[in-house]
Amino acid sequence: MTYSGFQIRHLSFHGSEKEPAVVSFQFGLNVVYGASDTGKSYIVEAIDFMLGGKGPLPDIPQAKGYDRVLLAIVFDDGSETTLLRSMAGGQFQAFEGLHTSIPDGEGSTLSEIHNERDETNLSSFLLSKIGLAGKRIRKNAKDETQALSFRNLARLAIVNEEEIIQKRSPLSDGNYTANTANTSVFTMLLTGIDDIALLSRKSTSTEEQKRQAQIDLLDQLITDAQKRITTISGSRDELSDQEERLTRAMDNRAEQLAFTEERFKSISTKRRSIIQRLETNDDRYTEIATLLDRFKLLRDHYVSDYERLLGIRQAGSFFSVLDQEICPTCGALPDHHDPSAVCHGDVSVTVAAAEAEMQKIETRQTELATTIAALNAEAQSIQKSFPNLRKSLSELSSEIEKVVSPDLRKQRATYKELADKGANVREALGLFANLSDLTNRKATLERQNEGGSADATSNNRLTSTVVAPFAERVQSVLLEWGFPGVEHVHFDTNAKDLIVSGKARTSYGKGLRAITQSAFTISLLQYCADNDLPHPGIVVLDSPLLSYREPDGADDDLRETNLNANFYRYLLGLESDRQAIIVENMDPPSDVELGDRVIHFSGMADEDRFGLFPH
Amino acid sequence: MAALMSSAFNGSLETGMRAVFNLHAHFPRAVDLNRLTAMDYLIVRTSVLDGPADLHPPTPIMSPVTQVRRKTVQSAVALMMSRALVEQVVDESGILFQAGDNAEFFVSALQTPYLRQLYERAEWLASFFQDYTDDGFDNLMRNLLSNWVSEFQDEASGPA
Repeated sequence: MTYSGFQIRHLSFHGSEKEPAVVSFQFGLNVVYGASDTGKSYIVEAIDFMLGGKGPLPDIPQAKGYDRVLLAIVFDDGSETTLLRSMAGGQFQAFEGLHTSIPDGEGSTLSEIHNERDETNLSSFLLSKIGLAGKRIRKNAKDETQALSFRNLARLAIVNEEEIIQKRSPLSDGNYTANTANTSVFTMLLTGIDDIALLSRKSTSTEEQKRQAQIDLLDQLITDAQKRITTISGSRDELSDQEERLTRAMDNRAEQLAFTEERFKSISTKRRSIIQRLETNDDRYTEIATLLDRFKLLRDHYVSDYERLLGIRQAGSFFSVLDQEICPTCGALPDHHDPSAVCHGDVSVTVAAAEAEMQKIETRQTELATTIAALNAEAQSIQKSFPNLRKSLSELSSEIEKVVSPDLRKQRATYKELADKGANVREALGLFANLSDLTNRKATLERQNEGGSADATSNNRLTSTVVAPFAERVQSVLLEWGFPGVEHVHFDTNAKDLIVSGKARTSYGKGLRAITQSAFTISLLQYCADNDLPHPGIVVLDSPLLSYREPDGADDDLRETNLNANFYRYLLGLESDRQAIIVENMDPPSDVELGDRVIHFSGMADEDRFGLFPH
Repeated sequence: MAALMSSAFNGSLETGMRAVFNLHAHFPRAVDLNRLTAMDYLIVRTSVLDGPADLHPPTPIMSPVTQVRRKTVQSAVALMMSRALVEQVVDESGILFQAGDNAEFFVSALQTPYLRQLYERAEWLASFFQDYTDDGFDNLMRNLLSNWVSEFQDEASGPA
């Protein structure tokens, strides 16, 4: 960073049928004084306009017919540029060299709007000449930055007759949203450091914000988890112990339970088999009863058949005794009759058959008797077995129902209780684990955020440390000028303004406000130049000595003092690399030798120069 | 051989024997083959007439008055006639049968318990049918037949 201020050489106005109105300046002090309405203030407006001011220029009658302005500038590197602009505003044409008449040719176009992406604009052009190209200044509390425009500097160097008496900080332009930016510009000029480092801070602030959002969410989850944990009785360690104990108890119970279940199973199996046997026996008993019924019926049959056969045999034997008569069927005599003829039937055969049948029946009867006896015996033994089986069954049933089942139920219930308790304990432990996990994550994110903000070294703020040497400079300037009663000047970083001997600058009358504003502006140039810090290199002030013309009451009246002479003498001592253009109504005091540094606008036709524009 | 195939039961001898008992109890009345055939069955199933207990246990039987039984009775009667136990009588209503000369001897000689019971039932049957005309007898048989049909159907489907 170095100081490389520029200087204005000529300001000229041109119109197609008009004689150019030219005013020229040199290094150091330049004074333009004279009557009202001679265009003195117009000069200040025009300089501002030609250094990028919005325009259009005020419509004064003297300017009628003039449509273009030229501003010839000499830069610190020796280069010379003349800027051409229409008095209505718009773009600039830049020409090499110093011109007081419209140059031929095209010149290069410079846009009147600062554009950080495209250098073909006046602001970038001027900034690069004074060494402040590409700078950024903080524009709001979120540390967002904007590109530095020459206009930010112009307002600290050029002060018109309204601004010079404004009851506000020299840093303010009346638009409070620009306050941060304006303060940043001032800080940058004093420190030589711009706010480009805030760029990284801006992008991390998005990440910081994301992390902060995560931190906030985690906070909520942590609060929820803590709430749930308060419903748990017992600390984390107590719960861990409990879990261990429960697990061991469960293992114990599991063994017992297995044993009881085994017992239950074996008794159940025995019982089932007894029930089956009872059923089988019952079925068999019923089957036997049915069989016996049938066999008894059969036995009756055998008996009755036997009786019949007995009858047949007897009948047969008596029949044989009787004499045979003539066969009525075939009419044959006994001797000639075939005894085996069917019409007779062989009685003896029948009797023989009867006897054979009877024998068979006897055999069958014996067999049947045996079978019946066996069945009876079986039925009896089955019957005998019932009481025992039923007794065993009831014993086993009662054992199961009264002992084993309840035991089993109890043990299962206990086991389940333990299992449930275990589950609860584990759930509670889970909550603790969850809480510590959330807390850890929050801590990690917080550390990341703190780390981020620790890296933001660029905290270029307007502190009293930064501004103290500047305030000292203002103090020495005011002392040199003989400002009444000045003892100590310091800069209030809150009000962003000077406190002169304990009094706020803005509480002075407008005359003293003008002086102190001028002191501020001039001190800024001096401070930067002397400390090799960038500055445009010029100050342009309209009516700094207002208190000599229109004082605001007795306190504001400096007419009895030497301040004006001291003022001019001070400015005469400016170094050659700096320029001051002072526009005043009052004549400079006669005891100050201004020589050719003074331009007089007489306002009268034949005396000196009439005014800015020819009469 | 025919002898081996024939059973002693319900052969000519046994059936004939029953016929002699019935005719003896009916004497001097003579009956035709129809009545004789019906009575051959009824004598061992007297309970259907609300008489004495049945002499034979209930068995699934075919219709009591079948052609087979009729033929058997016919042969049995012929056999009995050859020993003068049954006498054939012919009159205007057809062929009738009557107790023969030897029937008294025969019947009194047969003394096994079964035969004694047979004798009692024959006596009871004769007294039961004492005043029955042929039409009356036929009516009775018809009624019994319809009962028998359902009875036999039940029996036929029941356990052996």
